Amino acid sequence: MTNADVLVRVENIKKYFPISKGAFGRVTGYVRAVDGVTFDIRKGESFGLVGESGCGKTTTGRAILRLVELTAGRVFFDGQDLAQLDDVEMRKLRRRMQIVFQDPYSSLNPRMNVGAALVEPLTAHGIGTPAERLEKAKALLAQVGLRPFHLNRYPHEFSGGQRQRIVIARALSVDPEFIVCDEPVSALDVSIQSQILNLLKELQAKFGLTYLFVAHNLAVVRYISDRVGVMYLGKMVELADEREIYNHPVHPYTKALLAAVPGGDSGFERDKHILAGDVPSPANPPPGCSFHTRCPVARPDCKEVVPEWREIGPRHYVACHLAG
Amino acid sequence: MSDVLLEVKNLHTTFDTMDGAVPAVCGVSLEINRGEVLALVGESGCGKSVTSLSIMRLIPCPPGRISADKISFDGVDLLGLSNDEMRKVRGNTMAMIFQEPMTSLNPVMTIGAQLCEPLETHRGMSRLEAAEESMRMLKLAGVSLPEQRMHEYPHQLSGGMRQRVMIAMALTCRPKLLIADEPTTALDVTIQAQILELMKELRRELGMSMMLITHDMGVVREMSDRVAIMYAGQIVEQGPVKEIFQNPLHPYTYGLLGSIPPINRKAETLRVIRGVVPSPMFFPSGCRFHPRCDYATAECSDQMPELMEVGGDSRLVRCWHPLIEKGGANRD
Repeated sequence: MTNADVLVRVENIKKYFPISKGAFGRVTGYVRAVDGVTFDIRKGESFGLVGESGCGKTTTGRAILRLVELTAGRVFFDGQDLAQLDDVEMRKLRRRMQIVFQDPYSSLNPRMNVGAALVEPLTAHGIGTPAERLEKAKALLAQVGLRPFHLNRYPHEFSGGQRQRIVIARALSVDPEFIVCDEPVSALDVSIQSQILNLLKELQAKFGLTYLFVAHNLAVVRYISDRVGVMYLGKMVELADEREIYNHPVHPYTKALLAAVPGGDSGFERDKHILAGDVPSPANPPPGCSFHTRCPVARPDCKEVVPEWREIGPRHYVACHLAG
Repeated sequence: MSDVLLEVKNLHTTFDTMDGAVPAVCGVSLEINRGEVLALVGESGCGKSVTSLSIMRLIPCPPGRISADKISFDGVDLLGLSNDEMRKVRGNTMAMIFQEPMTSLNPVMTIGAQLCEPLETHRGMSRLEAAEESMRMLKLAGVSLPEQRMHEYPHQLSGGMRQRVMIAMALTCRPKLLIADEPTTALDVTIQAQILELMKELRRELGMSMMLITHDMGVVREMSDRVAIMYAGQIVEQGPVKEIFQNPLHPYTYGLLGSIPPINRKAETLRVIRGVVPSPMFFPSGCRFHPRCDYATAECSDQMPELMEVGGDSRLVRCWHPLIEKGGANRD
């Protein structure tokens, strides 16, 4: 698909982290953090990536920004293959893509006041004169619901929610088109979480932003996303429009995730979909379908044959032998 | 024997710091009946954990100061107990599990040794009896291969398995009350579901009471009979879970419930509680929620409302203008 409206195309990406042992760092194996993932993100949409810890969702987000180098596969941003770009070209492209991390405490420099933090990306990219940069910083603060006098304050003077607002303002400073939001609200209290989620939605509408929204909370992902991909052990197991995947999930893992949401109003009964056991280690994933060790409906062939990634309905993809 | 297992009246816990006294818990009163699960809910810093630690007398004094009109557990006045006597209650008839199982288990002791310890101290079992009982508890808590696990160390187990071990340990002495402080917060959802199912099963089987401390409304709805919502060191609303979810009376509860994205549909926008939680050093005058409240009047900033009974059904609310007067909160 070389659609004009595709902003990011991820093609069969793999990221293996070496496991080294001993004094000489002999490589004894690999953690397959991401193991062959393919998807597109369209201009102006929010793509949600969900899964449990260690499923590779964060690594996927970082690989798209080339913050980790890929083991295999390609990432295209607006038609350009990122791996083909040299450092100068990549730097230019970075202006168009930004990231917001989970922990607003560690993503701000404690010795830089808010003004300096907001102006820095502009300086780095050589945008505007110093006076213009300061104006821009003030405007950004207003965008995220802070006041101009906050410019001279330091990160420790802010609460977690306010810090996340600053981080978002900084990401917006270079007028990016694409923002990877990596668990942006999971460190926040619920009443603050909703403020930040509403802000992200508002900003998206205002600036036509495209989001990759990485999170483990299924309700949060539903609220923000247009399309959702579910990851398990480095692979994507299901991908569909938000409505479709929450109302008609096909993969047994997606069903189990929904049934596991406490409170019991996801519409999926716990007893039918509860998973036994733990997630296997990504250093040594099971053969065949990597989910078969916990799957309540696994068949003998699931242990041997890796299920194909196929379209089972309009824009609904799944990797499961038992699917429709 | 009365129905009330735990009764707390007017609990105050204050910490003396370099910057002055920090009132973490201000006049909390609650009861837990036998076999009942009470959830204590609120955002970080609202005093929910300190409340439970104060009841267990696990707050270091100094810097902490605890005062209460009454803390009675199973007919015993906990405030009157010596430290030695309190130690016998703790881990015996009253047990606790914490959020992060890795930091609550001793990393240099095997699982078996840690499980046997309370049995030998509290129940005077021999080593062999203790080992057998521990194995039984591990099995009950759904730990696979219990014989093998007894000889393993905490780092060899996954997060979910560690929490099962913690639960087994808490249950070894058959407590009448289990205090669970964010028991599933550090776990992935599928593992969380396993642990919640386990806790429900054990509650049915052993008939124990539970005080569940959490910030997750889904967990509250699934696990508890009654809920107490805390804000800025006080209980602001208390009542049966179903009714509070259907018809919250306190504007804070109403805001809190509306700020959680639903799982069964896509919400257009989330309700927002403006502003931030006040610091305990500078609690607002009058009702502590009034600067963030949409319904606040002059009265609210002047006078602190009491926890009052509203609308029957054992519902309590600390508000001058509970939402019931406006025809319930379900208007959106």
